[in-house]
Amino acid sequence: MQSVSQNFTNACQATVRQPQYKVYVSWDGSTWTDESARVTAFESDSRISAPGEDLVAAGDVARGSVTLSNNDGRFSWKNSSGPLYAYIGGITGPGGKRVRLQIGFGGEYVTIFTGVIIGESSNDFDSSITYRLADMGFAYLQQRVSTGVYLAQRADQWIAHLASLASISQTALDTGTHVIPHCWTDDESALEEIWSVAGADGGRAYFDGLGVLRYETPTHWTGHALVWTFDLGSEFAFQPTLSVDGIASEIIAGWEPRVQGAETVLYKLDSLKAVRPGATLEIDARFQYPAFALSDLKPGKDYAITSAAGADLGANVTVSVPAQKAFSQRATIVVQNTHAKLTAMISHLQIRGWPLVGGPTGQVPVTVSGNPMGMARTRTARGNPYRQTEPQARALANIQASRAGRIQASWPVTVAAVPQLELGDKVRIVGRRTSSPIDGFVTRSKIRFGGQGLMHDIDVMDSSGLFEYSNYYVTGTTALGLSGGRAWY
Amino acid sequence: MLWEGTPNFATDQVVSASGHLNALGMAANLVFDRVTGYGAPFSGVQANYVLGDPVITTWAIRHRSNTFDYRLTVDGHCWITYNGVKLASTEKYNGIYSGSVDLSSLGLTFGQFYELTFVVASGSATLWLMQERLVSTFPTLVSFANGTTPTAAQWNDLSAYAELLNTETSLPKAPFAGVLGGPPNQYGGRVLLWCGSLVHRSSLLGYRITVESPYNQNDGGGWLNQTIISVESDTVSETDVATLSNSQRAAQKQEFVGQADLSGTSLVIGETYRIRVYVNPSQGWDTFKGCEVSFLREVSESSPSLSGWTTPPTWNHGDYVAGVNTLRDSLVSLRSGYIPVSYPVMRARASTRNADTWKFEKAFRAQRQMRFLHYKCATKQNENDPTPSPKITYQAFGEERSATLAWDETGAWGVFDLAAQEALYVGTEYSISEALFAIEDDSA
Repeated sequence: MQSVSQNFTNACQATVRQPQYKVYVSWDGSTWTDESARVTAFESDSRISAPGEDLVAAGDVARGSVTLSNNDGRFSWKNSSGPLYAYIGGITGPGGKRVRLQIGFGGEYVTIFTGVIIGESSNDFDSSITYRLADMGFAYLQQRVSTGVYLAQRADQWIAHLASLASISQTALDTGTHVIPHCWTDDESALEEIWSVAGADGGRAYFDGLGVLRYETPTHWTGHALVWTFDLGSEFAFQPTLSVDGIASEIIAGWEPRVQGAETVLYKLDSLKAVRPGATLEIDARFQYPAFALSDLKPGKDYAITSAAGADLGANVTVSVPAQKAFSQRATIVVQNTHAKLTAMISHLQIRGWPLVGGPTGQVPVTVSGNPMGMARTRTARGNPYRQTEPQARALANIQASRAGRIQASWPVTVAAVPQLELGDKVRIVGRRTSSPIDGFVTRSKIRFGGQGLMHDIDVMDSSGLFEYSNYYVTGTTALGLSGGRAWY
Repeated sequence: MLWEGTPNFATDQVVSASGHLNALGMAANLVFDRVTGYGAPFSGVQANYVLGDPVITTWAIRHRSNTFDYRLTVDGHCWITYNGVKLASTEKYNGIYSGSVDLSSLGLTFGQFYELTFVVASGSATLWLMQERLVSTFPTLVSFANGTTPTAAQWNDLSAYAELLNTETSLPKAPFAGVLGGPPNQYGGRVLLWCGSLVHRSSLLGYRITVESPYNQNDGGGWLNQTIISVESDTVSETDVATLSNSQRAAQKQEFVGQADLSGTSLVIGETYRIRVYVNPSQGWDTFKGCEVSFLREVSESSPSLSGWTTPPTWNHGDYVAGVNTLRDSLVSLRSGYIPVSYPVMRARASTRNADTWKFEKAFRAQRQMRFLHYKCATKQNENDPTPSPKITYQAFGEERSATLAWDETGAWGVFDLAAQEALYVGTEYSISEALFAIEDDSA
């Protein structure tokens, strides 16, 4: 939950509320413009899955929308006389402009959504324009990165590195549990890699309402205290959503080890290439395997370069792989011909190195206690390249198996907006339909402003049975010993 | 060497059985195996100056530490050079000397290969020991007793401790440099054939020694000849630990493969001791033609023990985080008495002996510990010289296997991936031939 003053909390809980809102757009990419006066409606919708369950699916970023009055054509991207034309009149229109939605009480605001404009639609009837929004993840989804091979990384360390490469400046990362022996990426989406490494151990990564990249381990929700109570009385519909999708009789988690293979040829030029006198040729070499390390290039063994008539040009041609152009699965070979008259003909060129090869995949099967469905149903978690060790697989299989024996209940409620609530907050629901309060975690938060005022749709995942024990050992807090805390998986 | 890494701890983080506790336990177990396991000695030399040029013996090392130790005895004049530079404090006359040298002023590069020499300029001298010794600063561990609440930093000290132990037990390893000697020039009395030093870790000193009897072996009674292994340290006077008697005759070889029991010698775990191998001919005819010391090394006992060590517990989900003090104490026990050293490898000794056909082909022998074998071969002095054909040889599935190593005509160091060789598993004994130097290391 975001930190707010007591006045804010009191105002939020009051019977008669006077919520306020702000909508900012960064048209120029550096400053925020307050467009609140033109807002007629907005919405933000974000969700996460429970720790230990499947991560937020790739491509699943938080969504939103904001509708603005456009009587004067301010937001019309083809209105050359409009004050925003310099920013939205280009070929991308308003796409990619950052947007921030805020809700507050008494002049104090919290941000409920930070994202970018991904599309627009106009309504000529009421001269309005609606921008479709996606969270900051959308901005990084297409950003591709390449790295060398990194050893012994925790999930948070690798996520931090990828975030840095993608220029994601704001992060809040739990300390990962397991060590991943080999990490690398080859021209991959930074965000998809972040999702993948987070999910390897059953954690999750997502952008929160403030635009901060969060990584949370499966233990993130242990020990959470209640931050809000919803007393629904009998005013609102209050029925659980029951899902059997997670029930299984067996969980299988696979792991894919990597080992450093023997030195081998990673790339070989398959055609003659010529470099004109005084010119430099760059060859983009893609490797058969990820390379742990590259061997030094040796003339004769790794390359043979002569003139077109066979004269030795060894003294006039340099062949190198600059360190800044060498990645795990590709490198740029630079061939420089300093001869003033002769053309350098490359008849043989190869890169040797130490490949990272995959060992036999392993899997950990865990039987779910009690076979709840009375029939066999196996859920599998395979194919994650960052799950490389048996302990990782065993921990994930056991986490999922401990929950696969019962129905997962989710309680959707619609309440007056509590804007300071965040995904993962622990809340309590008190209602006439339940004999005892429901404690759970916010897994979906949808805030709507429009004709019906400011409403908040929340999904609360029932926390009962989510964790086998209530007294796990917490570093720096719990004492060692038989009356202290328990070990996680 | 197998290493699975160590965990990181953070404040307010829930501790994982597999990711944290058992990972630490595994790290401790792996180091325990190394600390109580295989160790090949430093191959020293006893050299006697003869009129002419000084007697120079050469070793090579992969530089890892600037702390250099030596021990020598001299009745004459001798010194040690490192990368061609005389180590001034090692220049000695008449006496028994041991000391340490700071190599930092030599401008050496970590990971580079350098040659060392022992020069005997007059009289006689024995070089017992050369080693680079790693000096690490270990964190002070809190007790981890039940009832205490260690901080994340204190937990991370456990990991750092294990990582330092991994580094100390993963230094480059020189194979055993064998020697072929004989026949002796005297009748009766011990003739020193091989000498060196080793840090004592196990009660079992394995040996592989081959003795060839002469054409006129005398079997008229009493022992025919003996090969004797003795040990000695600063606290233990010289003690014979193995006496091998050759019972063959008529130009036959007898190979002795066994283990000498050091448990009765009072050697202290962690102390460096000196090993000698003698041949001891009879009073009559020369009773042996040649003796080859192929391999000496300490090996793991079937159930090794270490003072203060207890196998760390294994935790499962839901187990209370208790008994961590056992793990902590076991890590500390691994360090006590362990000296992290890297010995230089002696240059391969003569490959043929006199005019006989017994060819000492396998100059080095090792039990594989690490991933890569670094080696250096001779260059061809003349075009008609035979091209060196370095190779490794080992036994697998009841048959002899070999692999040829690439020869570099410039004499540069080469590297061979031992892990890529079929059935050459960690612990497999193998020999190296036609190489001047060889060193195992985990980094290419």
